[in-house]
Amino acid sequence: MKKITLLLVATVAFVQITRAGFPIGYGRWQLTPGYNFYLARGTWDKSGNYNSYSNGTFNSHYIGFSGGYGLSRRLDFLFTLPIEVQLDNNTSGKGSYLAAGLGDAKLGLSYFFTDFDALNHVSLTGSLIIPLYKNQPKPYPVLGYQSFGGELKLGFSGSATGGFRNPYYDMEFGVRQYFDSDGPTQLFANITGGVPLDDYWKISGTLSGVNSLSTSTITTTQTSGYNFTKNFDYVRSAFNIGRVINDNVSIWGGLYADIWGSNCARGSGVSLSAVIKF
Amino acid sequence: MLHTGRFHFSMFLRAVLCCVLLAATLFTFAQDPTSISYKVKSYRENGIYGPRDSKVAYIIKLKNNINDNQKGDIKVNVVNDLGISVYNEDEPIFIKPESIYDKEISIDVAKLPSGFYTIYFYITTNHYSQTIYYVFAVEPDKIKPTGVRPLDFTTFWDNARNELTNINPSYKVTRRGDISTITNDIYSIEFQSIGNVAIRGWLSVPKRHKKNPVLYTLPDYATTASPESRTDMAVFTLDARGFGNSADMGKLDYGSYLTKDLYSRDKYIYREEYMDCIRGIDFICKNTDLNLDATRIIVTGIGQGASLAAIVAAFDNRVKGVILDRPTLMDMRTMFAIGEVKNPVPWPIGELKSYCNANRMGLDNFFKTWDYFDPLSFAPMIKCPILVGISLKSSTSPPQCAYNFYNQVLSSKREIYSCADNETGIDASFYIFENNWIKETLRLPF
Repeated sequence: MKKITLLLVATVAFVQITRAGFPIGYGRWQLTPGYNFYLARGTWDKSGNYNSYSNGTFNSHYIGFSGGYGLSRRLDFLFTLPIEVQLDNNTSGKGSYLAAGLGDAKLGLSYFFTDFDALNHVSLTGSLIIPLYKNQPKPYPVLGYQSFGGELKLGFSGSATGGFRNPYYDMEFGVRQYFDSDGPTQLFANITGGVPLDDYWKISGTLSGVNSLSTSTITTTQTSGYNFTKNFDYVRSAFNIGRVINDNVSIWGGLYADIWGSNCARGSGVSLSAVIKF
Repeated sequence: MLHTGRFHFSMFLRAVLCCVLLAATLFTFAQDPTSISYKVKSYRENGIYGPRDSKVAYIIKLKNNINDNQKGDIKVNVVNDLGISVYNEDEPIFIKPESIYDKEISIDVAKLPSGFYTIYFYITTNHYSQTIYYVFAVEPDKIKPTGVRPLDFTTFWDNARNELTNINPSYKVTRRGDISTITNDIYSIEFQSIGNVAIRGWLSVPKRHKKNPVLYTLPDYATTASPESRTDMAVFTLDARGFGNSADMGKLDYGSYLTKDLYSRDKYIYREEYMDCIRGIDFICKNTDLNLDATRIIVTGIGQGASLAAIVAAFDNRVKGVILDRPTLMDMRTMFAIGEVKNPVPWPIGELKSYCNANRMGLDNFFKTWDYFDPLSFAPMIKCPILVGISLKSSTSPPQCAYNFYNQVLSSKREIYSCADNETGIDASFYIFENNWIKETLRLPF
């Protein structure tokens, strides 16, 4: 379970930094290499009660390479290619297990309903989730659900001019479906607000949540062997600060923490990324 | 008896007259402008109908705001840009108190040849009277231009450019610490142009350690320049000769500028003005040490400034993009044709006709001279990306003229932004579009 949650959240964090709800621009590239570190010391059970691991921690390192290309003023091509290192650092007391490799790649198209003269944008993004790995047998951590999937999300974004330093917002609401027999089906939302502090520094805050539904009955309280959940919820908050290097490059650093959940791990982490436009 | 009869007849006439006056007064005061509120929505928000449109349509919503039935009609009249009526319709209306009347007025596009039209809605009820009008265009990109480019056009302008080349520009740049800001350095600029006249302007450069793209802004008619700042681009604004800081030769005014030395194409003020604007590009390219990126210049202007921008873009391939915001003094032959049927006749038709009359210059001779200066004659020379903003209701910057110009531009990237319902300016959304267009054209970050 822990690894799955980690995987999804890491992806979300990168997307939010890159202001996913805004068009990239016709003929432009936008690349976002990034790194996330995640550390969990326990889990929430199905009732939302927190239980520390009796031993050890769960760690994850996520190196993501996201980006997009503006096919037109209204249509963007998007992609994500992750590399993951999942480390069960003796949480069960039976030893440490590590899994590393490519994760779930994403290919998608984002269509903007709003015109070129709009300050606020409405977009619809459809993506295909492609697993680029084969999970090892228990008790090794998994890199993902090892299942193809699809994602559809609605985005609302915009910026204010003339207000306090042109703040911006970026909201996404969507559904993700894995094509496995027991799914899961995930509803997710990301809400980001950001404001430039000056010409170089920017800060943003993100609140994100996932509601994952499946016929799977695996819970975090099961102790037999290594397992992961497909039925879970969580809410995560993130704070990021960005520094504009030049017109084409900015770098971002951030902290994030799970603030509520059920049937999933509770963790926190740091993120580093760069946004490169050309 | 006769006398008495006259008296009675006179009394009768007075009574009738009083009744008529009373009725007229009552009728006049019965018109309540708040008794109906209306909304009109065009099928095409920008007022431009293309080959895929089968109809020109407007949805009219009238709300009766008073506690009385309103009965009357909507008369629809569509006139072409020569003022000739091409479509009429009469719709009776009856609106109960606090009710809404909803009607789509549609016209078969096939009945309307390519061109510009004005549609009038005359709404009349027993309590209300209002006239609303909108301008729309049917396939305006198919309108054939009417410009006449003189045979010696190229030679004429080659001579002017040679004359400019022979003038030492003597650039002067003075940093103005008193008006520079935390983010931008402001400079006053001076250079010499044709006739050894000093042309001055303002340059605002963002304070950063990199070359800045330049937005070169040319002056609207009879206006003065002031420093304009952006944080992502340098902005260079220029005073036209005779105005603002470029008036060493003597100040010109609104009335005299357009016709100054119009009697001779070789001395006409716009010959010099066009060269002044081109020298501005030379200034940018020769002063890149001011952190200016001479490979990324956008030239722009409003009204007359738009026409000047078109000329600069036509002459100079160092320009990477041109933005024309409601260009005026463009396609003067069409402007006269459509303007003279309007009431009032829009500027500058009256001024030019007065000049021609006073100087015994026939209009034909005026046009023969103006053809050398009309941006329409320069349109095929523009090869860089171009954005034209038009306001369909504008009479001083007629959209017909802008389209005639636009239709002759050969650039592979050309766009026109039309605002259908703005009588006094252009919609704010144009400036968002313009800003995004600049970023797209110069590959600046969004």
